[in-house]
Amino acid sequence: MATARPVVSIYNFENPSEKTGTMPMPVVLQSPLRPDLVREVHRDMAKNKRQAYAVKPKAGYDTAAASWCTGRAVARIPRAPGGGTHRAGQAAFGNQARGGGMFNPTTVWRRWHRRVNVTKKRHAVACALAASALPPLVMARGHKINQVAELPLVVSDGIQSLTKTKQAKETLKKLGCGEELQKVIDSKSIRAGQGKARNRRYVKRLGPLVIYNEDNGITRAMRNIPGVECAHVDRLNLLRLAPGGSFGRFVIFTEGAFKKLSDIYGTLKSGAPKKKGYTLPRAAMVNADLSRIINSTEVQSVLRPKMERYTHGIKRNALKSKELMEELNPGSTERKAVQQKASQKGTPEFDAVQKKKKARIEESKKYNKEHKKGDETFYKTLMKAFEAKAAADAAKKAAEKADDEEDEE
Amino acid sequence: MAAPDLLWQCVKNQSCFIRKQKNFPVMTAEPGNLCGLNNFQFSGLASKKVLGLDSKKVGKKESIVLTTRSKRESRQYRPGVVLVTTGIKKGKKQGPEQLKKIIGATWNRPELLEMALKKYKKIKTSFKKNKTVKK
Repeated sequence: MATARPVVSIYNFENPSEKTGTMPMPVVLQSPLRPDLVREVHRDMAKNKRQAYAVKPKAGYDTAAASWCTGRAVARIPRAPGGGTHRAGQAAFGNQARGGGMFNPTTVWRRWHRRVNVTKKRHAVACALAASALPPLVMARGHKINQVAELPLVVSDGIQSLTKTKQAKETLKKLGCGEELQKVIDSKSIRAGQGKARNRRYVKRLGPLVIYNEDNGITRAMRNIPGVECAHVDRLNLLRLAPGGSFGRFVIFTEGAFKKLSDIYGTLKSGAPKKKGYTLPRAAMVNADLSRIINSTEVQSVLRPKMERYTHGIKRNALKSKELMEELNPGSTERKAVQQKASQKGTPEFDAVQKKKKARIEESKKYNKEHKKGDETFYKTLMKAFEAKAAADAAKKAAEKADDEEDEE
Repeated sequence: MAAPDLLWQCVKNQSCFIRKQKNFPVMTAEPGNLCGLNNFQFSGLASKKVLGLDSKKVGKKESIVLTTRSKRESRQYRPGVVLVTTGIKKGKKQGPEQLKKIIGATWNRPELLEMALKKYKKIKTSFKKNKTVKK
């Protein structure tokens, strides 16, 4: 966002409906949004608190089992030695054997932890902070912020000196967090799975994260309110800012903490004063508003006019649609009409047809008379041509027959 | 406020409002979404211009409510106030006219006007009470 930094109001912690001042938004909160980066860093960072688990190194191998080899009518798997007990001769060692070791035993030297580059971690935190300043993202994460006056929510420093949970709860409610806190209380349920038997019995949603600068009692005041977490500005944890890898946590800043963000992270030009060699992430696209870019005069003025695309309408069948047939075959409707009329007696078309028919028949008769009567017809000439040959053949046959008869005699 | 396209990319797969069903388009329960579909076009979270039409029941009173997004810069960061709700008249002629005025005339998503009118009709029919059959 290259535009001027928006100004954030600071709310009086005692009377949250009034504002005690304003502050320009720190540049951190305008970092580019990178859900992919946050997810990746969170995934790796979350692995760092894991405790090792594994089966005993000797599990399943603490016998002096040996295979009986072939020739004894048993499978070749190693068997427990000795006698006098059920265990003797039973299979051992293999993962398929009862009491044997497991396949690919889990080991303590599994790579439990992951290194994440420091810059990457810092970028992720900056990104997560930026996301917590955008109402749609905080809403999308599931926080109920409809009553909250403004995001980012900055409260005057007095809140850091709260010592009583009751007071803290009151303050939060007045700040508009009532709905959020209630959501947490309502969401408490027994965990599904074995965790419930492993000291992780209950699960509940997360509420607001209160970021402070000086702890004058605020952590202790807030710690028993379900869902509320506290964090010191200097030590911001991505696992708290983007729980589950999804950024947009509802964050409440104290005035001191909000001011300190600028001191810690600085600006893109100055770099981060408190983080050596670190500068806030730069967006790949400073202006990501695609519709504004496309509709801007700079772009529109250089575009060629839009091409007309031929869109095919629904295909019509010319045999069914008379209009289409006329389009494709001009004159066909007229011809059809004429044909129709021609079968109705009394119309001039009918007479025309009859006339033609008559003339045709006359012609035919004339032709037949000429060509189909008399001796010069096709059939007769054809047969004449054959008659000579037929006679010759007949004579030949007679001669042969006579010869045969002669031979027989 | 961040660009709508960017916000949409952040929110389209990862939002508490998304509701999924098998063999059904992905839907959202966010306020300000006219069709309830999880689309950039209809998104109530990501876009700068938002249009939502819903029925609201307070006690016995049923009303039709139009949701739009305030254009004021100062309101963009105030979650409680950024979405502006307007009641829409239930009269047969007055309601659609009011919608046409707000949506069409003020260029607040004029392409959604037709859909909004259709939804308005549906909401009205949902208010009709079926006559109980006495046995």
